[in-house]
Amino acid sequence: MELTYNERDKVPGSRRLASSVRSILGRQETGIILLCVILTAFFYSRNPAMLAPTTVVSILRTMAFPALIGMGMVQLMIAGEIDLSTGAMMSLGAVFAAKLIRDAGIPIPAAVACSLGAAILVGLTNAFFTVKVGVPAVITTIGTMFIVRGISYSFTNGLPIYPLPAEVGIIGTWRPLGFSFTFFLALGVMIVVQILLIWTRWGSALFATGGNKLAAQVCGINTDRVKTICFVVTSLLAGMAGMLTMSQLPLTPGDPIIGKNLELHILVGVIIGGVSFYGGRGSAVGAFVGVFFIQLVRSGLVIGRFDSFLQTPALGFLLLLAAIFDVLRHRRDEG
Amino acid sequence: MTTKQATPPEASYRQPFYKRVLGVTELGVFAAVAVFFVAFTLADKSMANPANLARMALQGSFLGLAAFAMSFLMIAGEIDLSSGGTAGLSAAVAGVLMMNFGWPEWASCTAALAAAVLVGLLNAFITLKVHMPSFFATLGTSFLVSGLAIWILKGAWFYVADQIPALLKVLNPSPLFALPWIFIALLMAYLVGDFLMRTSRLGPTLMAVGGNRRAAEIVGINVPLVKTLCFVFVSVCCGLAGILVMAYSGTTDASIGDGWLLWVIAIAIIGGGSLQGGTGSIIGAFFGTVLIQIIRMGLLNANVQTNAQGIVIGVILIVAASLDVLRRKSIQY
Repeated sequence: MELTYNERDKVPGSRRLASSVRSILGRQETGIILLCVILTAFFYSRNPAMLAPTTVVSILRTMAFPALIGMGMVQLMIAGEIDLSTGAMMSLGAVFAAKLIRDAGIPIPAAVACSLGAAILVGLTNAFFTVKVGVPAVITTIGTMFIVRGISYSFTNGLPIYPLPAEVGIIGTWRPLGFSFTFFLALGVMIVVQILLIWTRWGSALFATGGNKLAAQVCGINTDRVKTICFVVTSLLAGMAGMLTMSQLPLTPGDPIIGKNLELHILVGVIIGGVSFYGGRGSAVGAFVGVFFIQLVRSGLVIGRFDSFLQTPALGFLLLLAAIFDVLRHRRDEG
Repeated sequence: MTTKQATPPEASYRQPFYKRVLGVTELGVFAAVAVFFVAFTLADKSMANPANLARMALQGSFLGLAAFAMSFLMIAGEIDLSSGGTAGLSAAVAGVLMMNFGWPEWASCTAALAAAVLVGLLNAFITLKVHMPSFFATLGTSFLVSGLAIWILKGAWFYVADQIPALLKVLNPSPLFALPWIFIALLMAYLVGDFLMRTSRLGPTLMAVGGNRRAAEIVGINVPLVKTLCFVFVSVCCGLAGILVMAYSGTTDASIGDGWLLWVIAIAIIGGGSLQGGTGSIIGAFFGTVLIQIIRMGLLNANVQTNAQGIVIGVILIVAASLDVLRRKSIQY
């Protein structure tokens, strides 16, 4: 029930409290957090190691990479597009930087910059075919997924690139408060994106682009540019996450297998967190919690001594469930 | 808003001959087949030798079967991204039933196809009842299904070549130019399918469903039924293709269908199909299959490693999809 500001003032305090409680409970984020608690309890009942500090820290460290990319993905999906090439981009980001450092002898910061440049190129390619040519984003980004991973494998002949200088591992081995740098980076990016979405013109432009493209254009929003920026940001974050993964792995190898199947994790997490396939809906906090939820399921299946081959079907099942939920919600909103 | 007027069909006959020839959808793909074949043959003589052609016919038949069904579904305006997953699932089901449960060949293959039917029904249900775009619905089922295949096989693979005498016969060379039976059967299927699309009610029905759903409903076509049948048909053909790949390689492996969805969609689009539905050509998909098989074989002969082939697949897919969009823009009036 939507109340205008003036009417709301006349409502007695007790009912106002009840309505705000209901609106908190009605939010998707709350539902997911509740689910997380229930699942944690369930996995804990199968294996008390679930709540051991090492487990919790490792879950948070691992979820940081998809969460970081998810912060680009949430903007992209609010603007009504999708990117399935993120996992491949992680791989290329790591491999390209590693190749430049080891074989070309380029200093690390310059190699990182080159790698991010490659990520921007991939993002622009996605944007060009989706926005300018008009190919559906699913098809474009499945295509670039294969191209980018193919490039990454041909760079390395399928083998990890190492040894790299020890300096590559500096950021990855840094453990502020016992967590990882990437976790705090993802958290910081989440806060920034959430603020962008709620309070800035960029956020309004995103929601307008994804919600009603024509109306957005009439209002003077350059929807093509908005989408292009989103594609580039997503690829950029993916390239960054790839290099951070490399930095955190033991021996810091530029392994082309980095990011394999992670695009699914990101996509499912973001949708479970309340972002819509149809665009025009979603929040950074929700996406963050959704990605955490997926990591909880994946780690929980291992810790709860379930069959490890259950992981992929479980993710596929969750994706379908979240998507069906999204469609039903979309239909309710449309009336 | 001006009303769009369809060009009457007679108009095409009034055009000069060369324009009518250029207007044939399949011409582009046919020309591409010729160009690539000549180019690869010039680069490597072994391309054109009969044994190689027979091998290409055999290997191309699996994808060709999936693309055959997919072109019907795409004309009806939907798409199935779970084709590779379904192929893997069918092979996994057949392999496990044969090896772990001792089922006979025919029973395990029937069960595998039944599993494929279920996948098709699931796709149809999510797309038509839940009203989720088939892009996303089948992307979800593809992960679900390929995950199930991995789970069924538990990462193992079975050597099944001794258990499948009947399936292996399908792959044997026939008296006709030593082409395998499966290729002859597939070619017949393509010809019959194309003939039916052009002469029977099948063509107008599918094109109406894919081109203008509302209009199709008004003239009394049961749109959900048509689409459901198409989804199931695609899944069954993909399942069959998966079983045949299993027979060809002699082993069951959950990754049988990895990367298929790209090839299959690329074939359908290259052959004149459209991501928007409503148009397409069955025989065009056949030439699309031939083209893709020539390119794959050419890459193999040129010693391009498997991982790098992904680059070529991706480029072909994006180029084909872009061509489709441009083609559609050019015929809008």
